[in-house]
Amino acid sequence: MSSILEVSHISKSFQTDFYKKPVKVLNDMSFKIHKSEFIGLIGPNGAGKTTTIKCLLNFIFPDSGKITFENDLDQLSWKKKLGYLPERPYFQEFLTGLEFLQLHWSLAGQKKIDFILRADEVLKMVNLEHAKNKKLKDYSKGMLQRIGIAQAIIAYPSFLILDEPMSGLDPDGRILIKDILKKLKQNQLSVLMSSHLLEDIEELCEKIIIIHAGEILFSGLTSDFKKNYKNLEEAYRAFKKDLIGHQS
Amino acid sequence: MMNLTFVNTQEWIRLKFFQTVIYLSFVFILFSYLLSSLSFSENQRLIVDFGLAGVEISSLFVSIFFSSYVLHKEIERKTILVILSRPIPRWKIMISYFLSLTLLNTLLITVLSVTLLAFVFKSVQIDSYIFSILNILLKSLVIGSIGLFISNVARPLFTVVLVFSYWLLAYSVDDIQYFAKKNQMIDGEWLNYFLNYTVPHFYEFNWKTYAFVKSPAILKEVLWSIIHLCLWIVFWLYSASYLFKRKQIV
Repeated sequence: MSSILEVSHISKSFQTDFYKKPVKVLNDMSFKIHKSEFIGLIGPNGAGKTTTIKCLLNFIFPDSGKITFENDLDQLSWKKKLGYLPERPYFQEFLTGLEFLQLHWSLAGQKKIDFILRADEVLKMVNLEHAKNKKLKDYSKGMLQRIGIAQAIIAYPSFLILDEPMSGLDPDGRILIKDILKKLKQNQLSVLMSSHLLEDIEELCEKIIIIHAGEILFSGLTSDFKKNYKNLEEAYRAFKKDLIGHQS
Repeated sequence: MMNLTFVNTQEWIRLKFFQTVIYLSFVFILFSYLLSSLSFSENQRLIVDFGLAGVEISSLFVSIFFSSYVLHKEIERKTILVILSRPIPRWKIMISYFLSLTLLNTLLITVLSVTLLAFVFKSVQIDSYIFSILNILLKSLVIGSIGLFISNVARPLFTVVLVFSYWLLAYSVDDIQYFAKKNQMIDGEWLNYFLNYTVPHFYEFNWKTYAFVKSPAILKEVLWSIIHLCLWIVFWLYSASYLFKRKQIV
């Protein structure tokens, strides 16, 4: 199967203060993402999930290692195929839902003429047709998260990066977002999703990557990881127990 | 890029800060009109000198605060993240900030200068008045582009202080050179050389005066000022874009 993203041996350190030693956040990390895969990135706070995502998006630059995109594309060409939803997003609240999508449609370099049709399609998908002319400041948290997903998918991406898409949502909001993600899965999109919610990861992702202290501890099928356990949470608990046992 | 520019401009126009600056500048211009009644012979001079100083100070405020806070605000609120995930090069984002500042200051300066012109219409040469206003706009944009450059590496408050100091320096280069020469300072030549090539010569184009706007403009001088200020804008914008390209958005 051809990979659309290959990360090989990336490391990243941050200097917290100029007189202190740099703190290593990612350590020799390697993984591949193939077409139409739905991958969950799991790890505790500070494990390096968001840093990994920031490296992939070129917000920060790895100290060493290489990130290769599909067919050796350059960053800008790759970003044409990419959709991204940050953790706890804040958008320009004076724009309406439709204006916000239009901004991202144009930033993605799409033709103006096709916008209305696509916007209707996407708004229907995230169940926000009724609120398209409302200002974003009047949106609830769940609605903001859904309009965030809408901006991520508006320009026909083939790869989605979602950073904690369900964080801080109430159960209804989570169910709605999960339904949207399931629809995306049917559309053969490749998705990399970081989350603390193991139940959601188990439901959505066929592959998982477990990160701890900047290192990949497991990368493979979700079914393989939890095969001897009732669910992903139990398997993760046992895995962490083993890890602590090894470390001590 | 233009969409981003308009969204940024819209956002800043809605800020209380920008509205307060416009309001205070209006009050300043009206105050200069009232102040002029204190003088029997020089009332036009008072209105123009005070009014144009008000226009320059308000545009300076907008430039300094916009350029110091725009990037910081976008990073803090994470709005920059979704923009950076789009297929647009980083230098275009920096240029869009600059264009937003240009729109804001053009709007501010146009509104204020038209108001001022209503009071002094009969006593100024329109072409000189326009050149004086254009000069104020270009100076504010030089300051804005320096601010954008510094805001890549410094916190907003520190950027404000540095940019304001730079503006003061740009008006004081000749004074500093004069005092260096008078005190026979060692390395005074080097200081002259350094200041000449690192600081724009705002003191040479101090045209916000009645003396300038009441007489016909010398085209050669005007042209030189436009070229000089535009080159500084290009230099600082290029440097700001270069830094932003290498900036890590943590």
